[in-house]
Amino acid sequence: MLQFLRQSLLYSLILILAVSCKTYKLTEAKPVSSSEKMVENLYFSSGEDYVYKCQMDIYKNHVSGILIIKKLNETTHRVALTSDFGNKLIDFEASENNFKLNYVLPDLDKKIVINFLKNDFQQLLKKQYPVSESFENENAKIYLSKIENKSYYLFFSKNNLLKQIIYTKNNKEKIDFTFDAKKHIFADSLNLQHKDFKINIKLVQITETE
Amino acid sequence: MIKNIAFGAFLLVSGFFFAQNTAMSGAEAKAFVSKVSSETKEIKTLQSDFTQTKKMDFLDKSIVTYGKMLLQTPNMLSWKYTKPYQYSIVFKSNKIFINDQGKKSSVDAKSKTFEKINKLIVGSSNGTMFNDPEFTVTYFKNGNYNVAKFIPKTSQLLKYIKQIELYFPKNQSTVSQVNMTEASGDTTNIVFKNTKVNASIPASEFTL
Repeated sequence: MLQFLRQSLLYSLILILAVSCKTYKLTEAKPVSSSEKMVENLYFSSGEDYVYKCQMDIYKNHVSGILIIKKLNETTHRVALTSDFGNKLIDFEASENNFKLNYVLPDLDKKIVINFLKNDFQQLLKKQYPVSESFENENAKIYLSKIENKSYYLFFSKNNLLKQIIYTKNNKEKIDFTFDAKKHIFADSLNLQHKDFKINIKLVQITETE
Repeated sequence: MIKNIAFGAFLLVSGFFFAQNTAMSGAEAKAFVSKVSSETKEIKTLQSDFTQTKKMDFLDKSIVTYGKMLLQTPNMLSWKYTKPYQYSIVFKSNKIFINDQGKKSSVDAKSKTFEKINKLIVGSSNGTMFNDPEFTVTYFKNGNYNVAKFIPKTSQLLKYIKQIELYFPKNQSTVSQVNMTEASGDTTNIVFKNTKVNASIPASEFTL
């Protein structure tokens, strides 16, 4: 009986995931030939402190605080989230292939939370994308970067600012990153939205306030 | 030789710090606690502007936020950040109301962290924090301030916080500065300015 329950739970989970995760397709974009071999997300590439007001919605939980991102070297960033009162909630170092947890508040010390943050920030902080195909639509130049079973669609405005990254895995849309920026090395705000889970992270810069 | 010089310098520097903050004698501490406790009993309302400075070892700059704190005994507290972003939290009769840049929510005040924050802030305004069984309290003084230093007794609480220092200007029974040190060594410092005691606060200030 228990076995059966477990199985049906598993199947319904798989079903939910399969249904909720649509195959991603570019619409109204035409293929173009491009000389770009590599495109970059430079929003976290400066050595300065990046400080953002952060609002996270994880299912029904709302987490508010201050998020700090700091580039330590060419491959690694340090990321820390504090509450609005200043106490640290989580602090980690992330590079494309490595992850080191420096601190996590006991209340947040759950594998699922840490794995989400690890994955999200590894994607967000990824700098270089080899170009596989190029497209264009009315508003944007679009580069498709394929790495194994992952694909990234990077949308650049006509004045070359990165506006959006759509991350897909096995052709299913996973995460949508939307940026608002005036400079290519600094995003004023960004929105990270999971397409298969109710997780949303919104960041608004408070770096340049003084 | 270099070692000796370094050691000498270390002694000098640490001597300098010790000279700044000297431990109160038992009698001094007792007098200080009873004075603050009795004076804070007269507090009905408290309002103050604050500047919060967060320091982390890997950051070039501190993160500074500004706001206003309002308190009405026995159980209403409003903590409002106004710069560089808007965030308000109101503790009212065991409920917590939050307005996060227009996004409003409320929760029961059961969260351990919120409960501690509330207890600490309210406690520091009514003097009851000196008797908090969760902390060991020691007392210091220097030219301008009396200082109460709180160290958690349990390892569970030590995971959150290493120590809290409350600064009371001489001849004043309200806190003018709070220094918190986390387990990681990061610090948060809150300085209160324009403190007003027992000025009336409109009820709307505690409604989000």
